[in-house]
Amino acid sequence: MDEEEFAALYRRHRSALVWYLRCHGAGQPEAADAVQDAFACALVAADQVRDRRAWPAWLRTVAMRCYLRALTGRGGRAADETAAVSVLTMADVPDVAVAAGAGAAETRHQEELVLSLLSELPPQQQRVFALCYEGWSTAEIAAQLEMDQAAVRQNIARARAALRRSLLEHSIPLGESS
Amino acid sequence: MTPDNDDRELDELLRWVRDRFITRSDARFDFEAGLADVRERAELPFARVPARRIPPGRGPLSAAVALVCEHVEDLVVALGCLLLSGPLPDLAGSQIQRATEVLLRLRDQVAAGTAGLVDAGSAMATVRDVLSQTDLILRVELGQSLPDALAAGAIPPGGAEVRAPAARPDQLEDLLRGLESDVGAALAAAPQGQPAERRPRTRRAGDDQPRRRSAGDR
Repeated sequence: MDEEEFAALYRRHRSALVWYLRCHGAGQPEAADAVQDAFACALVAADQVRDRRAWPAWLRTVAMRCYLRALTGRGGRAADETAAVSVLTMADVPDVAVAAGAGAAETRHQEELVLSLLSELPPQQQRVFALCYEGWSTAEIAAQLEMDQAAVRQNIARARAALRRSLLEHSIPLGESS
Repeated sequence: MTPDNDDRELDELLRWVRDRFITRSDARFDFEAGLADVRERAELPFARVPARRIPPGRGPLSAAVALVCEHVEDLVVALGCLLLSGPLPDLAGSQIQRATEVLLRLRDQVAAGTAGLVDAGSAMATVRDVLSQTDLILRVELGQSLPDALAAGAIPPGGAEVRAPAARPDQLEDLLRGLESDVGAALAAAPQGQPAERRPRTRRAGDDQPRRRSAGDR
């Protein structure tokens, strides 16, 4: 993989990976940091993954491991505040100027609330749900997570029900997103 | 409102929030700085496998030699990623560094056709010994064996697997045994008193697919 290809891979998947980890309960600095580590691993292993289509799943798996490793405090740069801050400063600190206006603030609040509700789902529902909203089919999710398709559907249904309840409790009505 | 409508509206809301998050994050993120940071993180010792040094004007690599190179590189990448994944006890880090140096030297010697049976045997014994010590250090310091650390690390040996296999205590042993056997085959393939033939690695069926390890390669 040449540099241009790697840069394209980074641009295409970086933010989606941060979202994926945030859905699993990672804070913004930890998620951003784990994603940086995952791409560093990808750079090292670039020639080992020959099927380009494997990259999204590969990156998700590695990013999650980097995050979990940081969480357990063995290694991981998230434990190193300096490294975490260096990633933060160049990226995702809420930008007051950009987010100016009540609408933007409301949107930000809604994002954080949805992320927090998603991260409160049981782990299996989180995994299934995250893949579901990345456009994976039930069969693909079942294969990836080594589950029955029925179990995938059941997890999605339960996650949806739990989220609907939580959204109502937080007075976020459905049908107002567009 | 029906459950179907509820589901559709919930899906719309979640997709909308996700898309907003990604769009905003993309818009604010300094990708050049991010890429520089990624490269810096990847530039740890042995994170990259140096290119094979095959002198020009020599014959092609034999399939057996190519296999040795591939196995050595798989193992070096796995060990490099273990170093990359976070701080290890100092002694374990230096042992991994030593194993990597020996492995890469062996690979270069096998590729150049200059490896003898005795030297290769000695190199493999050193690697085995050094990695056994690393295993012991990791067990004592981190409560985790080297195979477990490799399995839990970023990339398992044979790194192309999308889903890492469950940690296998014999994983490293299998890999080392497979490598020893490959080295023996490569040296045996070389005519007596002559360097092993070398040829560029040929494209094989399935090269575009994530690599599947054979049973002995685990």
